[in-house]
Order: sequence, then structure tokens, then C-alpha cells
Amino acid sequence: MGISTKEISEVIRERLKDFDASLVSTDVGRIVATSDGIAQIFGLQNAMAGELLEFPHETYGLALNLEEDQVRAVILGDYGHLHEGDEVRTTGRLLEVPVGEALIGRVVSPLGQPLDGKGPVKTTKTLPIEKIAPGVITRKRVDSPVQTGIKAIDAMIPIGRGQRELIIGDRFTGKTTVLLDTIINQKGKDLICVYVAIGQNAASIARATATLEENGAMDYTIIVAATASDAASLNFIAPYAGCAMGEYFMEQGKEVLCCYDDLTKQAWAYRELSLNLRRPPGREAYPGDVFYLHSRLLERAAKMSPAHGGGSLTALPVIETQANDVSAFIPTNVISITDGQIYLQSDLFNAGQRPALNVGISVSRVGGDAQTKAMRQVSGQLRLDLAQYRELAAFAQFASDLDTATRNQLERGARLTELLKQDKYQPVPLAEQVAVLYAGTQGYLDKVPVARVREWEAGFVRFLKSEQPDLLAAIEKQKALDDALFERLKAAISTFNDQFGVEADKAEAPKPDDKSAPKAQAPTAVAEPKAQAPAKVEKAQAPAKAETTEAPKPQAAPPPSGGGQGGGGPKPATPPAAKAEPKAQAPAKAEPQTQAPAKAEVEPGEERPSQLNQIRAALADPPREPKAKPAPKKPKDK
Amino acid sequence: MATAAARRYAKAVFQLAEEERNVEEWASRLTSVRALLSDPDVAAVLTNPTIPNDQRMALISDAPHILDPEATNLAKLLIESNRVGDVGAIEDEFLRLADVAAGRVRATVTTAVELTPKDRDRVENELSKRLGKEIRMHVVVDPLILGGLKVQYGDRLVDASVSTRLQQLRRRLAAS
Repeated sequence: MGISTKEISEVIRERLKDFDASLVSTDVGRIVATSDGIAQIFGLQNAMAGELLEFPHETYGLALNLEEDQVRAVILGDYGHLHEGDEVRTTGRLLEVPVGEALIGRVVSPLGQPLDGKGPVKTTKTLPIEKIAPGVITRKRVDSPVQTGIKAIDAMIPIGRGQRELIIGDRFTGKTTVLLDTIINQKGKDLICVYVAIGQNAASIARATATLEENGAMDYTIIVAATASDAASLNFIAPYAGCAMGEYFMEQGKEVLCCYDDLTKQAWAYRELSLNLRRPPGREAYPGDVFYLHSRLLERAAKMSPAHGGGSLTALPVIETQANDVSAFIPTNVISITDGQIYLQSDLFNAGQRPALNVGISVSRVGGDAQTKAMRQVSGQLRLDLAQYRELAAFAQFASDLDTATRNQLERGARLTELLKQDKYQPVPLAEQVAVLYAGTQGYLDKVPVARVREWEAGFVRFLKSEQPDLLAAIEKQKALDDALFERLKAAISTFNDQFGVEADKAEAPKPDDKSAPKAQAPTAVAEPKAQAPAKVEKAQAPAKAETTEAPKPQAAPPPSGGGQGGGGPKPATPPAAKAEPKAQAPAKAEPQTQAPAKAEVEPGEERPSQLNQIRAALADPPREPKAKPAPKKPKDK
Repeated sequence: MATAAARRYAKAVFQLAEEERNVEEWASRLTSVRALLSDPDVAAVLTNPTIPNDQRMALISDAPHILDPEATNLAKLLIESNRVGDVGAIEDEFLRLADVAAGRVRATVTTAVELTPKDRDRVENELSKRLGKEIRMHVVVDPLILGGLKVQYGDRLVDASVSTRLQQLRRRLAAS
């Protein structure tokens, strides 16, 4: 026996010595009826709205409806032992949860009781779970990013500290994975994470906890768990409790990330309570204040001004849709409250695109300002390329004879899409994201077969870590790419491409800016429609080109130096023409002169739309096209 | 608990009593009406909808030795409007109104052992001093509170019982 009975009695004696039984003076009422977790209480004339009520046997409740001669309260937790006639006392307090550093690394119930079997949570402070959100004066604009470690999100839907970014999608589309990835990626950073699980089955919560523990993420994470078997009242208060625990740190000037997984379940729980409280049902039987339910929670996400501590609380709420219906009541509500949404789709998920992000309709309304400069430098091009890819891919499915420019665009898009895939629980650090996306958007991957893109990426990251660790460190440190870093990055990519067995074609050497190439080609294609015929042949290009070296690449490198800053950065290498070479050579080679002047005129930033128009014109021009196929394309295209 | 209807009846009776300046008399009338109507056998007949209304009312008016004329009228009114079940609430509410009007407070004092008359007076005096009102004390003996006392007036409860203190102590020892 570790502890002797003497010690125990010693402890008890200590406790008894300073025990001062205070006179209890409270308001009392009596239970008239209980049903479905709701108690009707007669009396309690002076109860406050939202006051904590004490029932017999250590049970607590929350006064929600104050009526003429009774109070209706939800019972927090089990209510089977309560009977008619039981005495109910007021406590004079609003519902509070324990807060503090001791909670970090713990799994607690929405009332702050430990659920992880690691002993009591030794906290000294409590905060009310409901609190008015910080006002206008105390806030500051969102200006620094939360790195999620997910390439697609960090590049295109950046999340700022203090932002509310909704994660929405059907069941089983990887919503929780996005949250867990984000939490895992905060390892070694200054962000405290609160993961609130609402209405999930206990097994899922256990799995999430285990995942976070395995990845060492529990060192800075609090898990607030309300399982599906808990009373609706606990599911209802869980996000507020989690938010209060996060706010404690925010008020101390720390940075906090709150994940609410998910708010649909909370709305269900609140609907259940409201119907049992006899509040009138509205649309989809939700009560009238279900919008306020979520808006008052998400409003508490804030970036505080330096005068008020400078802390921040970022909210990542999750909404589960039914059959992709984002126009249901709760999804539209929360979409309108948040500063943008990340939309996950099951068909993308099933097609192997993971994370199953729909880049087209996912947005971040304020995160763009917060994005790291290095990422902004590479991601602008990515966004454009993918947008055009989607547009072309939609109608290219019907066409077999595409001109080179279109095909290049499609090839590039396919590689970029491939590049955005990543495994779960493996967040990518910022510098690696920048390096990889730079290679993708600048066309260094155009000759890597789509199926090998991920292999290339893994190899390239390994290569950078072993050969050029200082390059990664420099990007991580400077958070921006200058010309010198661009050069080093390019050189590193070229070297690795060499090792990987991909190399540039000599033909690309004279073309410093590949973007002009498709433009020049478009008219060519129109003029010589027959030359397109070979382009129809679908075949893998990589093996065919194994013999040449990529020596010319460094020459291609010097870009217009100013272009490095803007979104539409320079694309010095591996133009689409080179890729198409084996098949579509004829038109491209036939007019080398045409290409040269064309690219000279074009401003790097502005050529894209016009180029697209030309491609369309070329494809949609029936009189000039001898082939029958392009004609039906025309209506689709517009 | 008082329903809205019971409160309305009680208020009407009380206003009438005040006009006639015999609140005490009306209080005793209400008590006797309540005693009669809440008798299960009587109530079973009086609330039975298969018996015509005038027959039920006749039952009351045919027994003038039980109730005086005013009380009979009240009982008939209650039978006519199907409020027989509310008679208890009406009396409670009437007494409450009477207490408020007279500046009295009804208090329930719970102790573990019977109070001596001296202690009783002391509690009553202290309470009335503190509340600034006349106290109408109702004493209950409940051995389950072990010791000390509990005072309840209105919705307010002052709990100085030993059982509550022990409960607090248990909570203190169990926590942390």
C-alpha cells in the first residue's frame, strides 16, 4: 500500500480544520414535472435567465425559460433520479467551466470534468460559458496566418488568426481530418488548440484523441467531448464551453484555435431542447434563435488589438450537409456567419482527390491578407491555372482533338491537382509547400507523368531536406522569396529533375516565357487544322524524352525580374510546347518566328484571359475547322 | 401551485372580503369550502359530468348546516364553472393575498427536534426583526436534517441544517 491510513486521516484533518460551513441562503423551487431532460419548476421567482440551478444529488441545470409562475430548465447530465417535488435551488452563478493551463492535454466533458482517467483537473479559475464577443474597439484586422499544413488550403484558401472558416461537406469527406491535420501542424508553434467534439460517437472521439496523441499534438490541445450518448443539454453547451476555455488563453495574449466538430449536431441538440421547452418551432423545426445560437458563438472568434493583449481565437466550425445540400437551413446560416468556407465533396473524395477540396467554390474572405508572402508569390499562378484547368476540363471531355495550348493547360492542371493531394495526418511545412508548388506552377513538372507526380514530390522534398536544408530554412525564415531564392530554388529543381529522369527539352531554351507560346500557337492551329491531327493521339510523353539533357534550363531561368512578386509570376521553363513536341511538333516548329515576337509583346500578367479567348476562338470556329467534332463543342464552350 | 384561474378567483374573493372588512371570516369560509370540496367522495360526485349541473348544485344548497350562505354561493359558483379542483389553490392564494395586505410573512421552520416554546419565540422574533414584518410561523419536525434548522419564507430558503453542512463537507473532501 502506497499510502498509509495515517496519512489519509492527516489530510482529512487538515481539510476539516479550515472547513467553514457557511450558511446557505438560496431561492428554492420545487419540480412540478420532468420529461426529456427538462424540468418544470414552480417557484424560483428570482431566477436569472441562464442561471445555474442545483438539483438534488449533485445534479445541475440551466434555467432557460422564465415563465409567469414557473421556470423551465434543462438538466445537465442524467435526470433519471429526479422526481416531482424535489427541491431546486438557485446558485446565483451563471454556468461556468474551469479554465487554465491544467486543461491542456486533457479530454474533458463540457462541464470541465475529466474523461481521460488521468485524475482530477487542477484548475483554479472558471469562466462563464456564455460571454459577449469582443467589441469593435478591442479588435484588430486579421494579419497573420494559421498554417494548416494542407497545401490546397494554405495556398488557395488561407486562414488567418482570428478568422472563422467553415468546413462543410457530406459525411465521410474528411472534415475531421482537415481539423486534425491543422492541429497536428501546430506542433512546435505558438497555437493552443481546442477540439470540441459534439454529438460524435465515443469511438470517433477516442480515435481523434489517439491520433493527436500519436502525433504529439496533445501537448498543446484540449479536447472537449460531448458524445452522442450525452444529454442534448451537454451537446448544446459544448461549443460554448470549449470557446470559454480558449478565450482564457486569448485574454492572456495567446493564440488559440477552436475547432467545433460539428455544429450541425449542436443545432440538433438545441432543436431538441427547444421543442421540449415548448418554444415554437420554425423552419425545419429549429427554434427562432438558431441563427443567434451560432452567430454568438462564432462572433467570439477575434484577433485582439495589441492594447488588449493581442491574442487571437480562430474558429474552425464544421457543418455536415445531407446529400451536398448547402442550401439547407443550418448550412446557409453558418455560411453567412463565417468568413469563408472550405467545401469538401464526396465525389472528389471517391475519385481519390484527398483532401477532397472543391477549390472552385471554397473561399476565404479575410485570410488572403494574412497569407505569407512566399506563399502568395507562388499561389496566385496556381489559382489561375486551376481555374482555367477546370473550365477547359469540363468541355475537353467531349473533345479528342485539342490544340496544343489547351492540352498543355489540361496537362498542367492535372499535375497541379495531383500535387495538391496529400496523405492524412501528414501536414507539410510552409517552405516545402512553397518549393513544391513553385515547381508545379512554373511547369517543371510538366514532363513528369501524372501518375508519378506524388512520387516526384516526395523525392523532391527528401532531396531538399538532404541537399539543400538551408534553402528550406531560408524560405521558412524570410517568409518571402527574393530573386536569389528563386534562383536557388530553380537550380535545385533542375538538379532533382535530372536525378529523377525528367529533363527539359532543348526546344524550350529560346523561350524565356512559355505563356506566350500557347498564344502564338493558337492562330497556328486555326490556320493549319490538319496539323492538329497528331495531337489526338493520347500517349505518355515521359519515356519518349529520356535522352536529352536539361542543360538549357538555367538559361531559360532569368525571368522578367519584376514578375517574381505578382501572382502571375514568370514561367521560365518547360513550356507546353516542349511537352507536346513528339506529337504536335509540326505547327509549333513551323513558325518559330511567330512565337518569338509574340512573347515579346505580351505582359506576363495580362495575357491569360486573352489567351483563353483565343483558344476558345480556335476551338469554336466551325468554318475553319474541317473536322466535325469542334462544332458541337461550341455551345458547350460558351 | 396556483393556476391563473385560481389566482383570479382568489383575487375576486379577496376584494370582496376587503370591501366587507371581514377577511378573517372569508378565510375560514374558504377553509371550510376547501375541506368539503376536496373530500374525495364529495369531489367525485361534484366533478362527475354525467350528473346534471343543477343536481350537483342542489346537493350543496340542500345542506345549509355545513356552509353559510356566502360559502354556499362560492361552492355553487365553483361547481358551475368546473373549478372544483382549484379550490385548494384558491385558498392558498387568498391567504397569500391576505398576508401581503396585512404585512405578514409565512415562514416554515424545519428542525430535527421539537422546538421549545422559548426557542420558537426566539426564532420568530429574530426573523420578524430581520424581515421587518410580522411572521406567521409554521413549524415542521424532520429528523432527517439531523440538527440545526431551515427557514423558508416565500421562495427564499436559509439553510443552516447539519445535513447540508455535512453534504458541503463531503463535496469539499471529494473535490481534488
